[in-house]
Amino acid sequence: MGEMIHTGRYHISTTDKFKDIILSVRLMGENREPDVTMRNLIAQILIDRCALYPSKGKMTEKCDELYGATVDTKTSSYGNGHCFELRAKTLNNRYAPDEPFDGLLQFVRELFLYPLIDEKTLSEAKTNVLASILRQEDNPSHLSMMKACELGGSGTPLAVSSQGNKKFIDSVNIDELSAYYKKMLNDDQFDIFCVGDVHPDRVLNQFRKTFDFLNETNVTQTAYVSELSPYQEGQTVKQIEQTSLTQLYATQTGFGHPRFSSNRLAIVMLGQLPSSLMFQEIREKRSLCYSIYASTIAFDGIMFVSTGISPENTDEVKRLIKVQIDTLKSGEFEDDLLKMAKDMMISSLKSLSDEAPAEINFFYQRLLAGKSPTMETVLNEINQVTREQIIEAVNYWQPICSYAVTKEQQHGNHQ
Amino acid sequence: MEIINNLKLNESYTTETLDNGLRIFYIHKPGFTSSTAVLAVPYGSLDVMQKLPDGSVHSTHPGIAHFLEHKLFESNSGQDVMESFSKMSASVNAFTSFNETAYYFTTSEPEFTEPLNLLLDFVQELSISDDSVEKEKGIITQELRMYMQMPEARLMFETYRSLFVNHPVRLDIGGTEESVSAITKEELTQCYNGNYHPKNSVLVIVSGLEFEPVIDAVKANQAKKKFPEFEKHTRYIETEPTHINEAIKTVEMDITAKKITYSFKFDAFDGSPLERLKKEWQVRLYLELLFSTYNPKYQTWLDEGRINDYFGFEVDFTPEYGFAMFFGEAENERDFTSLVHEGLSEDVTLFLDHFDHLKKRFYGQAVRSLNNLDDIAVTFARCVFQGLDYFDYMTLVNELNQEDILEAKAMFDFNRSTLCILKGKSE
Repeated sequence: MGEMIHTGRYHISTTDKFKDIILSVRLMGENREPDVTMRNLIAQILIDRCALYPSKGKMTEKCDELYGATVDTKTSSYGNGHCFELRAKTLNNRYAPDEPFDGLLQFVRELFLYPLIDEKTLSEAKTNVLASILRQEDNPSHLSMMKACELGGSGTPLAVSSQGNKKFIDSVNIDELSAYYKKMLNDDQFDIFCVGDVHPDRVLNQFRKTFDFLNETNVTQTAYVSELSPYQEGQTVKQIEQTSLTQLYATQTGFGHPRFSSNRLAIVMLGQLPSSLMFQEIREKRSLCYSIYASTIAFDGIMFVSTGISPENTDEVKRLIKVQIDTLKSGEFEDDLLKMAKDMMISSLKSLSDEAPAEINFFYQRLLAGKSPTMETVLNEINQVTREQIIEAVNYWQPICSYAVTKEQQHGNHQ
Repeated sequence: MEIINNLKLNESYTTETLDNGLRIFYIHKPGFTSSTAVLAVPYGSLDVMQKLPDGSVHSTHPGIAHFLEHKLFESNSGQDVMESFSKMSASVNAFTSFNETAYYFTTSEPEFTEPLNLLLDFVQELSISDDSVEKEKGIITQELRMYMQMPEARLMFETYRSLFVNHPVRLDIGGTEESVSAITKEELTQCYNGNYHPKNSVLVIVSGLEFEPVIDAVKANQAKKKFPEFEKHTRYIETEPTHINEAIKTVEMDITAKKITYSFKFDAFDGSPLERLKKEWQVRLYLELLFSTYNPKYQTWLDEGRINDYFGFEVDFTPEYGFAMFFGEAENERDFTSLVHEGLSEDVTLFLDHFDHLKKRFYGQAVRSLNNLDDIAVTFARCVFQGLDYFDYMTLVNELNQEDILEAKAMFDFNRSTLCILKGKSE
C-alpha cells in the first residue's frame, strides 16, 4: 500500500505507477433536504460553465488543452453527512510536455471561485438532475433500493436520496442556491486528496494557496446507527417480469464501532462471495436467481440484500434469506467460509493501492470515522475476528424493511 | 519470446507462442500489487452459425456461447471453481460478448501461479452433465430477464434488431428464454470442441510480478496436457443486405423517461484492421466536432430542451457490419431526428480549429486507460483477435489529420437510418 501523508485536511499519496494525477476535493455537509437537492444542482453547475469559461465549448477547450483533463462532480451520502466531490484528473507530467497538473489546480480553483449560477445554468441543472432521478426510477433494481431506504429509514438520513429529490427541484431559485453555495464553502468540512507522481511538499504548498477559501477547522458529523423501527413491507407494481427485491436490516453497528470488522465480514459471508451462503443456497443449489448479494450502507449502520427473482418465488426466497442469516446467527457455518471471507477482504483491501479513487475512498471513510488511517491496522482488525464475534455481530441484525418492485400484488409474511 | 517496447507510453510486453499454439502476452506493471490474467477465445454470440471443417454449416441456439461460459465453471472433480479461487484469495469472473468469451481472475497475493493454473485447468476442460445443464437454465433465464428490464440494455437490443436484417448482432448475447431452454449437453460439447483449444486461445497477464516464474508455470501446466487435433469451427454469416430492417420501431416498457436512438447503417469494412480502426476514429472525431460542446448549437439544443445530458453517440465498425447511433431522452422523436440532421448538415470545417484539442483529449484518455489492469488485459486480448497491435491501437488517434475527418460526412445515408423509441406504457 502506498503511503498517504495526512497533513491537516490535505492527504497526499506519491506514486509514479499511474499515468495520471488525481485530485479529489470533498466537501461534507448535512444530509438533509432541501440541502441535498441543492448540492446536486451545484454539482451540475460547477462543472458546466464558470464566469471565466462562460460556455461549454470554453470549458471543453480548457480540459482538452490539459491533455483531456477530466473534471467531474459526484455526490454521495455518509450517514448524517452528504459529500460533494469534485474529482479532476490529468496526465502525469512525464506523458505531457507542459506539466498539465499545475494548470489543472488553477482551473479547479477558478471553478470553485467563479461559478456561473444564473437562470440558464440553473434551468439546465434542474433538467439534468430530474432526468437522472427518473432514470434511476426506471430501473427496477434501483427503484427497489430507493424505496426500501425511504420506507425503512423514514425520518432518518437513510431516507434521503443522495441524488436529490424531485419534490424540491422546481422550487430552488438562484438567490437561494447562491446563498447555499456560499454556506457550503464556508461551513462544510473539507478534505483534499491527491494521488500521483507529485512532490508532497510542493503540492501541499500549492494546495494551501489553491484552496485558501476553505476553512480547515470545520467538522461535519457523519456516522450514526439506525434505530430499530417496526418491520415494514412495501411494493411498487410495474409491468415487469422479474421482481426486484431489497431487504434492509439494522445492524446496530456503525462505522468505527468495535463490532465493525466482524459485522463487515459477516456480510461478506452472507452474500459477497461465490461461496457465500445466499449465493450457494439460492442461486447455485436452487437456480432461483442470477444475482443475489448482501452489502452495507456502513455510515447508517444498515445491511441490505438485493436480488432479482420470479414473482412466484418471492416468499420462498425471503424464507431462504432468513435461513442463511439464521445459519450465521447460530454459528452453523464452516470455518472455511470465515477464512475465505477474511482472505478475500484482505486481498481486496491490498489491491486498493492499484486504484487511486478506491484508495481515496478507503482513507476518507477511515478519517470520517476518526479511525486510524493505516491499512495495517485494518488488516489486523480483520485477521483477529473470531467465529464468536461473527455470531455476536449477526445477532444484532434486525430486519426493518422488505421492498419489492414487482408485476403483481405480493403478500409477504409479516414478521 | 519477443519483447515489444513503447518508450512514449513507458510500457512493454513480452509475447510467446507455446508449442500447443497458446499465445501468451505478459504486460509488466512495476509497482502494482495486483495481477490479472485473462484467458479468452474468439467465440462469441455472433458465432451462432459456424462452418465445420467438412464445409457444412452448423446452426446452434442463440445464447450458446454465453451458456458455455456459465457451464465451464463446473469442474469434473466436483469442486466449485469459484470457491476454489476464493480459497486462493483470487476473484474470478467471465463475460461473453459478440466476438469473444473471456475468463479472468485478479488477486493481490504474490502467489499468482496457483490461481493461474486453475484458470488454465477449468477453461481447458469441459465437464458437464445433463442435470447441470438443466439446472443452469433457471439462472440464465433470470439473467436475461434482468437485462431486459434495464431500459438502456433493452433500447440497445431493439436498435440492433431495427438496423440489421440477418446479422446475428440482432440476437441478444444471452439468447432468448426459448433458445436457452432448448440447449443440450451435446450441443454445448460440440461448440466447446470446435472453439476451445490452445491454438484458438490467448492468455494475457498484467502484473507487477516478474515475468519468468509466471511464464514457466504456464509452460509447465501446458506441458502436462494433451489436446486433440484442433478442427476449428469458423463463423458463418449470411449476407447482410445494405438496407435497414425497420425504419421506425416503437417498444413499450413501464418507464417514465422516453428514450430514443437514431442510427445509421454503414457497409461492412473490408480493409486491414488498422484501416478499419482509423475509419472508426474518423467518424468518431467528426461526430465529436458536430455533436458536442465544440458546436455552439449544442448549447442551444440543451436550452431548447431538445436534448439533455444523456445525449450521445456510438460508432462501431467491424469486418461484418458498421453503424453510428445517436441516443437521447426526448419527448419528440421527430424533433430528435431533425436535430441529428441539423448537426450532420453543419460544415465541419468551421470547427476544425478544435481538431488538435480533440487529439490531445483522446491521447490522454488512451494513456490513462493504462492504469487499469483488467481493462488492459481485455483490450489487449481483443486487439490480438482483431489482428491489431496493442500500441498502434492506443496511439492511432495521433496519426489522424484534418482531411481524414472530412471523408466521414459521405458515410451518412438517411435512407439507411432507423429510429427506435422506448416509451412508457401509459403514453
